[in-house]
Amino acid sequence: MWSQCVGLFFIGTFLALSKGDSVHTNNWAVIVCSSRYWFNYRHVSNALSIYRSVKRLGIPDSQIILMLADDIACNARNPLPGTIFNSAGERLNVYGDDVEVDYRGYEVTVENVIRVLTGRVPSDTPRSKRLLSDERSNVLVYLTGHGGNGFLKFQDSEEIANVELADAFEQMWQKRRYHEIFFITDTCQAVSMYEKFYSPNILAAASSQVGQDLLVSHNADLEIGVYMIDRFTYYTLRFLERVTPTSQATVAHLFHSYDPSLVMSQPGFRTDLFRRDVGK
Amino acid sequence: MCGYRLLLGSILFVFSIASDTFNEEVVLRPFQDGKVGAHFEFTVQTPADAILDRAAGEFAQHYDLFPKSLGQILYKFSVHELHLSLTQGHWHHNMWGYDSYPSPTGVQMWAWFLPDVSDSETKWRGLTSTLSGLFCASLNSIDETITAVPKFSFHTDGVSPSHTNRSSCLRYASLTREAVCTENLTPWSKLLPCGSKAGMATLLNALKLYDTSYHSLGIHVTLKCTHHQACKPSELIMELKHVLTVVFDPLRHGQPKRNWSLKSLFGRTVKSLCPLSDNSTLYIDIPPEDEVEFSPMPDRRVRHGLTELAEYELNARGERDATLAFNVAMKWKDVFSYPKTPHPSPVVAHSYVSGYGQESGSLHIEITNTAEGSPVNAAVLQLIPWYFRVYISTLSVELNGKPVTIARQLNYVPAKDHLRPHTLELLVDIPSESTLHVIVTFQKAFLKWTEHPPDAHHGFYIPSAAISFTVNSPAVYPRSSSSFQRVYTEPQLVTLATPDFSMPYNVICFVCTIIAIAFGAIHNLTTKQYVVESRDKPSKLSRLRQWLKRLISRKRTEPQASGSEQ
Repeated sequence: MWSQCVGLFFIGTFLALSKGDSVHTNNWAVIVCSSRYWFNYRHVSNALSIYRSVKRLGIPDSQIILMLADDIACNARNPLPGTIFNSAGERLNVYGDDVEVDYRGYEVTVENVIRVLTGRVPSDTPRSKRLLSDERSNVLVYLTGHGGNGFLKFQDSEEIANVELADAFEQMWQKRRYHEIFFITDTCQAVSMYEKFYSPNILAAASSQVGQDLLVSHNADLEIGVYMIDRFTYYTLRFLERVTPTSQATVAHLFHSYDPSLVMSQPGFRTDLFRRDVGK
Repeated sequence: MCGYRLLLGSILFVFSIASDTFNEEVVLRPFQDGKVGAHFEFTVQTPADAILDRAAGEFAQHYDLFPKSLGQILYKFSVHELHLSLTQGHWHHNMWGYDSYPSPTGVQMWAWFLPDVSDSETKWRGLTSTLSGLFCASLNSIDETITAVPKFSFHTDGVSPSHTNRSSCLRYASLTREAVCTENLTPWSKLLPCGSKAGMATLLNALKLYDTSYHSLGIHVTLKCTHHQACKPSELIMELKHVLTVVFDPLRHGQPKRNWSLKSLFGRTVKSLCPLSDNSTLYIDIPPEDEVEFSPMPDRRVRHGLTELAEYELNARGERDATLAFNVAMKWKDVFSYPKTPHPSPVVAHSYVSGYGQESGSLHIEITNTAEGSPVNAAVLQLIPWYFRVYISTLSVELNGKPVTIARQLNYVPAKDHLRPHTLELLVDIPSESTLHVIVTFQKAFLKWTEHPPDAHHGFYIPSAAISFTVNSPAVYPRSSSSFQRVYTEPQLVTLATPDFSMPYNVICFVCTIIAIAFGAIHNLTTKQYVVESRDKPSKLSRLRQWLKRLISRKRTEPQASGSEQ
C-alpha cells in the first residue's frame, strides 16, 4: 500500500513534467517549385538550393518532399545537361548527382500540395510522396514561383490563395501534423502569402513586401541565357552554406543577414504566431 | 512448443538459402556513323520459390542482393515479370543496328501478373503508383486511359508460372512525355548491390550520360529456370536486370579520328571493383573492316555469331591490383569518313502523321525489310489515345505501294472516351526487300477546357509503334535476350484545337462592364414610376409676351430704386 502510493506519486510527477515539454523529434521539409517552362529556371534553382541545404544539414530524402513543376536539368534547351547552377560566378551545381524528386511535371498542382500537407492523399500513394509528420515534427515549407497579392501561380494555369494555405496549416494543426512550421516563400509580393495564417507555432519569412515585385534575379548567365536564381534565395543559400550541423546559428541570425539593398526588396518576417524566441 | 517450432523453422531456412549471384557486363560498340554505344547490364539472380508460394506469406522471401523494396512490390501486386524503361532520344536502326533492350522515347512499362489474379486493373494501378515513388517518375499517371492489353506483340521473356501466355495477365502502357534525368538515375542505381559506389556503376556520370543523343535506363525482372526445361518451383530463379544504354558521339568536338577512351566518354575510370559481383566483364566490338588498336590489350578475343569481341575481365585485374584505375582506349588508324552506303538493320520502321488543319489527320507506319531472301513475320502494335477518333474502316495496308488485304490477323480494340485507348495490332508478313505501309485516318476530338494539360499548346503525343518479330539469322547482333526482337518508331506530336484559356476572364470582364453601365438605366426603369403632368403647357407666343413684360417691369423698378437712394 505504502509502496504503491510512492510509485503513483513518481509516475504522476513524471507525467506532469513531460506534459508541458515541447518534444521535437524529427524534421520534414516540403519544397515546392510551382513554375513551368525554361525561362523559370531560377525557380527550380531556388527550390534545389533549399533542398541541397536541408539534405546536407541532415534531413534524409525519405523526409523531404520535393516538387518541381518542370524538368530543367535535362531540358532540351539546357546547354549543360544534368546541371542547374545557382549563379554565373560560383557555378554551384545545386542539382547534384544524388537527387530524388517526388512530384514532378504535371503532378505539381494546388490539389497535390494541399493533399500532401493535410495528409489526404489517395490510398495508393507511395510512402515517399506522403508527409508522414506527427505532432513532434518540425516542418519546413518552402514555396517559390510567380506570385501576386494573396496568391501563388501554379504552372501558369491555376493559383493557390493565401487563405487556402492558412486553412491547410490549420488542418495540420488540428490533426497534430506538426510541432512547428517554418514557412519561407520567395515570390513577388510574398508577404501576402503569410498574412492570413492563424494557427500557432508558425514562423514565416518572405522575400518581398506587398506591392514589391521580386524582380530581380541575381544574374543571368550568357551561356545558359536565363536568370539563374532569385536574390533572396541566393543570400539564404549563402548563409546556409556556412552553417554546419554543429553550428550555433539561429533563425534570428538568418533574418538579420539579409541586406535589403542586396536582396533588392524588403524581406518580411512573421513571428507573432511562434511561441519560441527566434534568437535562441 | 512455439519456440521449438521457431528454432526448427529457422534451421531449415538457413539450409534452404541459396546464395544470390550478381554479374556486371558492359559492351561498347562503335557504330557506322562514328558514334559509340555503351550498354551496361547488371544482373542479380535469386531463388524465386518464396515469391511464388503465396501461402508462405510476405516475409518468407530472404533478400540478399535482390533489392527488398522491389521484391516486396512484386510480391504485393502478384507480378512475375516486369519491364520498365525510361528513355530519351530515338534509336537509329539504320545506323546503329539493334539494341538488346530496345525502348521507345519516354516511359514504357509492361507487367505480367500471376494467373490467379482476378483484379488486374487494381493491381496495375497499385503497381504503377508504387513504382512512381520508387523511380521518381510520374508513372502514377499511367491509368486505364493509356493502358492496353496486346495479344500478339508480347510473350513472357522468362518462364510463365502456368505455362500459358494468357494475354489477360498482361498490361502495357507508354508515356511519351516523360523526362529522364539524374533524379531517375539516382534511385535506379541505389537498387544495385554496390550502388554507384563500386564496380562498373562508378562510370555512370550523370553530367556525361545526359549530354548524349540517346540514353535509356531499364529494369527487367523475369522468372528463369536454372535448367533449360520446365522446372519445379524450387528450381525457379528470379532475375533482375538493370540495363542502361547510352550512345556517345566522340566526333562531336570536331576531331578527325574517332578515338575514345572510358575517361573521354564517361569522364571517369573504373576505380574499384564491386566485391559482391561474381563476374565483371567489359567487351568491345571489333569492327571487321577497320584497323583498330586497344590499350591495354584485351585479355582475349571471343566470337559471338559473326562479330568479334575484345574481352576484359575486371575481377582478375582487381585481385591482382588493389588500386584499380581501369581505363580502356580504342584508337583508329584512319580518319573517319561518313559511310556513303550504310548497312541498315534487316528491319527498319518509321512512322509519321500527315494531314492538315485541326480536324483530322492520318497516321502512317512504314516498315522496311532490307534483308535479302528472308521474309519477316511481324506483329505491329500501335496505341492511339482516345481523343484521336480512329476510323478503322480507313485502315489500309500497302506493300510497295500496292494495296493488299490485311494479312493474317487484326486485333482492334476501339477506344472509349476517358476509359481506354485504341489498340491496333496487326500480324503481317513482309517479304524480303520490300516496304509495308499501314495507314489509318483519325479525327481530332475537342477536349473540355479542364481536360487540357497546363501547357496545352505543346500538343499531344501518339506513342511509338512497336514492331515485334523473331530473328533467325545469327548475323544479327546483339541477339535479343527476349523471345522477340523489337523495333520502335518515332512518337508523334499532334496539336489539337485548344480553347482560348483567357476567355473565362474576358467574359467576366465584359459581362461586369455591361452590367455596371446598364445597371443604372435598368434600375431607374424598373424602380421609378413616371407620372403624367396635368398642367397645360403655355404656347410660345404667350411665353414671349410674358418674358417681355418681365423685362420692362424690371427696367422700371431699377431707376426708381436709384432715384430713392439720392
